[in-house]
Amino acid sequence: MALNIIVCAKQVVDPETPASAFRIDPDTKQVVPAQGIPPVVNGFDENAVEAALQIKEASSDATITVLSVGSGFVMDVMKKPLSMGADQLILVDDPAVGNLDAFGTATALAEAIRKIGEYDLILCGRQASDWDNAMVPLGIAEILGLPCITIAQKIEVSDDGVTVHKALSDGYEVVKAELPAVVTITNELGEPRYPTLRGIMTASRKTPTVWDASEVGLSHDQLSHKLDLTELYIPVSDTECEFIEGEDDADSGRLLALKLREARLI
Amino acid sequence: MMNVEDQRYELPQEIRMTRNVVRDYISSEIVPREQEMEHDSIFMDDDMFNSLTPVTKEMGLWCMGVPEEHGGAGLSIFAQAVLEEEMVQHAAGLYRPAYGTMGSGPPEILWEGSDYQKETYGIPTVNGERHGWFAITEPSGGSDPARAIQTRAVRDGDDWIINGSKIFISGAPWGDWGIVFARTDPDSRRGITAFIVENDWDGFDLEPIPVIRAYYPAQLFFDNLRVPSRNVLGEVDNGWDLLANKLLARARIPYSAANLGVAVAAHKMAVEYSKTRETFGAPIATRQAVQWMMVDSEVEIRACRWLIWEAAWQYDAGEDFRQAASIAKVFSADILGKVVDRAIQIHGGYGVTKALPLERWYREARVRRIGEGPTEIQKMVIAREILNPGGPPG
Ligand SMILES: Cc1cc2nc3c(=O)[nH]c(=O)nc-3n(C[C@H](O)[C@H](O)[C@H](O)COP(=O)(O)OP(=O)(O)OC[C@H]3O[C@@H](n4cnc5c(N)ncnc54)[C@H](O)[C@@H]3O)c2cc1C
Repeated sequence: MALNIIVCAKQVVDPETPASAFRIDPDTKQVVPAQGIPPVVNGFDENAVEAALQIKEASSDATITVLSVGSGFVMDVMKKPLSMGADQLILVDDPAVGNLDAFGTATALAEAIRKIGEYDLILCGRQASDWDNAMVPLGIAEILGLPCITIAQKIEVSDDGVTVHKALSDGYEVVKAELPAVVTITNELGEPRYPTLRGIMTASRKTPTVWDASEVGLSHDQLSHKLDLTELYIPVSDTECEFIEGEDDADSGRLLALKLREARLI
Repeated sequence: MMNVEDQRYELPQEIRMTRNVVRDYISSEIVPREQEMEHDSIFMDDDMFNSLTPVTKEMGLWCMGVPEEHGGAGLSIFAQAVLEEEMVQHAAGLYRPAYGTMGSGPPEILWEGSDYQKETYGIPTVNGERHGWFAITEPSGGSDPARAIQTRAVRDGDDWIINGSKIFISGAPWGDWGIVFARTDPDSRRGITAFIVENDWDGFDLEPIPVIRAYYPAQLFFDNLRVPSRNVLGEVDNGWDLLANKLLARARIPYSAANLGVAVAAHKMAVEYSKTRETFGAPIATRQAVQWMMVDSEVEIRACRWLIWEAAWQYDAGEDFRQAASIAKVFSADILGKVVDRAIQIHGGYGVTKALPLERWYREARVRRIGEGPTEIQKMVIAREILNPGGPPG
């Protein structure tokens, strides 16, 4: 069955950036990229790429398109899904879409998806590790009028649609939807594969398709922030160490429990 | 061609992307596992090892220096140098890059051998079933092997009989075959031949030599060791060319890249620590004395990288790369020691504990100015080329 899969992927600040190198600019309310630490593809989005590759391996005829909206793309980073085995990369690369809120991002992605035209399945990471909002996929589904299943730890595509194991805190739910649909993928799906040397050679020869905001038909109005970030700061945490001493170990344990309850921690 | 816009000097994208993959592999697969292991460990347990090798094989990075037709990735020396810098960035990395989970091929010169030799020794080594070593140094000396090699090989019918001893042979305690350079023409300084021998043959004996690093070498003893003619590598009396020109000079490039990689890892630790450790009310990174240590390391590391890349480019272009390789070797071995030393200084007491890899690197780094040709010998090679460019090798 011919299947067109679109994976939405975001370039984010490397979450492994050491705390001492992490900087924000309180005036523009943005994270300042740390020098010498390249960004990465959002981890959950790599899980989504992995899900797409598994679907492609299971069905004979699937095409995987990776789509991203933003500005200041680092090509070595954004080509990683290609080196893992995705077929093509489309970037909406424009300063106008460089710093959107969730609704703006969903709008931009949805418009780009409309422009791509042919799609059966849209996969996203369950959330992006920079803001952890988990809102964009729902927005895409809403705008395109598609069903959306979130937090998939397993996904299968058949003739009558997509079947998803949706992770819950104490197990999973099996949910089905007709295609086209939006599905968000969680890390429980399994580690994304490493790129292969052959994949890297292929990816390095591929040129991504690049659109600017106007080519996708995005107007200034559509992108204006619906959500205002009023303040951005790095929380200061204080650590205090207190030794709890009791008559014996059991007594110390009891006193510790009391203390934790007082602090409403248990 | 001469405007700024036309000239962009950067690594090819495929090398940069592969470097990212190797970096990711080391930091996600090797470093966390290593934290559960002994400070000086040189091997990973079998289950761990066997769970990782399918991953690197799938990645296509198994034995990256081995030619593709023999089961490796067939990468250029330049690509290898870039990747080696990443591969070694963990505690055991200097001597056991990725704990061997990215494969370890035979000594490169084995591929100059016969089909029988490639099939019997080369391919099984690439497959991880056999492990090879090479033996040049003797108790009589390593700096000047042309004179110091006293191990004798004498023809006996279709075989050769070897008598003598080799010392400081890395990998031999865990290997099962190796290349022994022995004198076949006692009247000529160059009358040396390379033989492939096996550890379990009669007349072969081995004694471990405890040294400053955990990956200890061994002394080998040959007592009427009988070697069939088909195990002569290359031509009789032609071992010197294999040894000096093909084995030693080439190996200096990845060897230098390993020095660089560990220096980079130590430097990163120092920079990170200096920003978080406070004395007298401020991070030590704010003190000029500490900054200058890090500046020196940064400058040396960057210079070192270019020296290694230059040697690698020359090798890949088929040019005479020997002087450049010696320069890279001298410089990288030297700065590795200095950078690790500074990183220890910046870490204070913690720097010398066995909780951090710095202590281990400090000991291992000391070997690097002696092994693969001491600094003074590299300088002889460099001087020869300065004084007599393009002249014959020594
Ligand atoms: C841990 C370890 C592992 C090793 N692994 C291997 C291996 O796998 N295979 C192998 O074949 N060898 C191996 N070696 C041997 C190594 O290559 C030799 O130690 C090295 O070549 C020096 O030889 P030597 O120790 O006999 O010192 P010598 O040749 O006796 O030299 C001693 C010192 O004299 C100085 N010197 C010598 N000649 C000159 C000169 N002409 N001008 C100025 N100064 C000079 C140098 O400072 C040198 O360090 C290993 C050594 C070590 C320590």
